[in-house]
Amino acid sequence: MRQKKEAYRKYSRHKAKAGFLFVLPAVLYFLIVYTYPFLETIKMSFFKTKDGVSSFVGLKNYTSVFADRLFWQSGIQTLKMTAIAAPITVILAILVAVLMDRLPSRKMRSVLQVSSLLPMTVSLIAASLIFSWIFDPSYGIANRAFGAIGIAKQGFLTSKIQVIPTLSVITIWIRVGFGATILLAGLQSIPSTYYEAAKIDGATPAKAFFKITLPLLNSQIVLVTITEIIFSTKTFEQVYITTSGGPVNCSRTLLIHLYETAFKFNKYEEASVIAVFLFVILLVVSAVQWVVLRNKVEY
Amino acid sequence: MSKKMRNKILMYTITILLVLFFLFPLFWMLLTSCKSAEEILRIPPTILPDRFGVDNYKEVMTRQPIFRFIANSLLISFVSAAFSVLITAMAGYGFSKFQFPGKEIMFFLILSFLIVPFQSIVVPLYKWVTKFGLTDTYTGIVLPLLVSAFGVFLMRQGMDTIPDDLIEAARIDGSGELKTFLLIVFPNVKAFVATQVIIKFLWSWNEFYWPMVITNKPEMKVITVGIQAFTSMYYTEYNLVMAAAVLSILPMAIMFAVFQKGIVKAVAMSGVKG
Repeated sequence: MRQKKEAYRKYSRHKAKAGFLFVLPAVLYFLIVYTYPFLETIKMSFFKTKDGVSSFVGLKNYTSVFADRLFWQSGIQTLKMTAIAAPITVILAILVAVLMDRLPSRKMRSVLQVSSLLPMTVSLIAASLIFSWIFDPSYGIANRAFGAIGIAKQGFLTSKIQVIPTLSVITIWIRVGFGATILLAGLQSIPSTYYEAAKIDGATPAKAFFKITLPLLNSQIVLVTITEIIFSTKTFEQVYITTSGGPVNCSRTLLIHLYETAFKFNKYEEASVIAVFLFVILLVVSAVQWVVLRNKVEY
Repeated sequence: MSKKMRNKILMYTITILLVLFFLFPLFWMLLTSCKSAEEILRIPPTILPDRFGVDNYKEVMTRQPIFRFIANSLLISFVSAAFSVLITAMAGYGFSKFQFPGKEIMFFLILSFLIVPFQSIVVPLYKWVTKFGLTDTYTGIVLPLLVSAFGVFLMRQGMDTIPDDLIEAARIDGSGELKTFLLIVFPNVKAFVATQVIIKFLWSWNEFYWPMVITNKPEMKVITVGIQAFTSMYYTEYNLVMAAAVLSILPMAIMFAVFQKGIVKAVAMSGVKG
């Protein structure tokens, strides 16, 4: 009996060791490659390096970043881009998902699915190049089509007002397929008996959509919305490739500001402040997601 | 006309508009890549090229080592996908099927990097990589892409689906822990492995920020960074820019054609995140 217990203890110690060894490479990797630099970023945001000696300066880096008008302008423009791209992406994704679920023709369903996913395999860089050609003010097809139907030439990426909506088109084009695929998986998990019952009760398809589909799709919609908000908040490539933040900083985003502060002006400490700021924003967005999904109404 | 018929027509019209929205930019890229510099500026514009030539593609290849860029991207993506699958599968297995002190803290540590944006760690990482002389090396480029936090999460979910009895049975038969993992566990989470490989490959292929920061030499550039050169140098020569874009998309498009079903499933599965 005692021997058996001893053997069992030895066995579970052996198992604990094995489990620890299995997770060790991943844990070490994240400690060295991610945790250490992240802590370094936080530390750096409170220090200033002069002539190779770094000293604690308290919140001085923070006050100097927050006093910069360009920082706030970048922040607001990032917000605008998110406010345009995220809702449109989500609405189009719902539309595509519903169509992929309901279209009577199987062929059309798969055409829609393939074409909505194709942009996802295109890098943001290539997509930005394609759209900067389409929206080229002089020779782009967009302005030429406008000209053909008598609409005046638009500035698009060269216009202070149009640059953010135009850049949002790139984001939307790339992202709709991703959202639609996730929403479709959700749609297909809704039992068809619900719809049959609604039909018997005399509900119109529109009513069934708003009273059955949308509420049951709730958690996937929240997930896709938050994912898109996070994606747009991190907008960088589209801007970097097409306008580098122009005209006159009108498309400068937080990440462009961070990139230039760090790698153009070599102000590492102030870049760290922006990095910490960005982290806090995304932490809040993620917390919202967590709370909403946790308290979501069960039907 | 019946109401049903009207609905049907409405649905098809919207579908066609959406398909046009998704496909038109790609078609336009392809068509432009076949036109000459003179033709793309012509008034009125042509839709189809005068002739489907490959001159632009030849020109792109002579101006930039574009195949080297693609080879670099393929290498980086393969290495990061393979490495990530192995390490995250091991971690997922450990987190799912074993009990040991500090387990949940370690899991939480890794998952927290789903929230921390990469750009928040890029400056110290850059300094560090530079200090060790890893700029312009494959090791330097691939370093932050090797293991994904999302992968650890996904693999833990996958390992939860394996019955404990199966692992116990292997142990009773005297199979060692590593052997059990490789021969019994790994083949049983194929769907999760495939998802992770596809998603990680796609992410690594499209990665831009880090490779741009960490490479200077042209021969070390990945494709996303490489084609960016065309915007600054030959800005108005959109016929060349589009040809370069086509070449950069080609490997992914081929992969998409081959693994289309798997990609759809992978994207749907990646939605379990959160």
